[in-house]
Amino acid sequence: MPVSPIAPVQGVMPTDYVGGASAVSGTDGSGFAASLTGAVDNLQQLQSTSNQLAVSAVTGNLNDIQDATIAATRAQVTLELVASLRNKGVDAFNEIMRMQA
Amino acid sequence: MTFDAIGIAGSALTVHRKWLDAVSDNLANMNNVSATSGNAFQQKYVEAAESTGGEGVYVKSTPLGSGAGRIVYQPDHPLADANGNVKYPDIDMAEQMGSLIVAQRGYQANAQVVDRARETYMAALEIGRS
Repeated sequence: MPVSPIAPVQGVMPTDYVGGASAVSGTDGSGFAASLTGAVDNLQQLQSTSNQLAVSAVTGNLNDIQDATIAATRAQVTLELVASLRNKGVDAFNEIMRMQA
Repeated sequence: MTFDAIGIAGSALTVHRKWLDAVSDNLANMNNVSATSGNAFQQKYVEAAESTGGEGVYVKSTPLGSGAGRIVYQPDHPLADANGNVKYPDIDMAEQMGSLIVAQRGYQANAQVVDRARETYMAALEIGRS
């Protein structure tokens, strides 16, 4: 039985050069500040609602107990969120400051 | 608010609180006696409906049951009519106790939802910390 010859290995083709990345459009730096300010404003509103409900709870003007506790829970979760955003921002700033030298 | 499990569960808590109030009122007035010429105490029901936009539940109305009541023969009673009959409200105590359990459990379930939602959001805040 005749054995067919093995086909020769093809030469390796050269690869193309990697294309340059497109330029990143610059920001004016106010995006993060505006977001943080909005978050803080929102947090302040939630906490004032929570405080008002706490006052009406102790003065006997509260219909639903859960309204006060839910407002407190919301304010707490939002506070944690805003605090972690702020901490992340400060961490990033410190990281950039360490780049010199 | 997009992530509003807490608010949705809060609306359900309000509905169940109102249901508890209605059951409480029904049980409180269960033994009221009235003259046969008037209405007996009318049982309170709570009609709950889904909020528009799927944001929880609310109490649509609180319809009243029949005022026909039960006619009971009590000739000594000051409110008895010429035939010696008075009216009692037609409230089934066993049914009210069942409603009480369901309302309480519903309230507890939604309180659990609030707690779990808080824990979940806190877990999300732990991502990438430290």
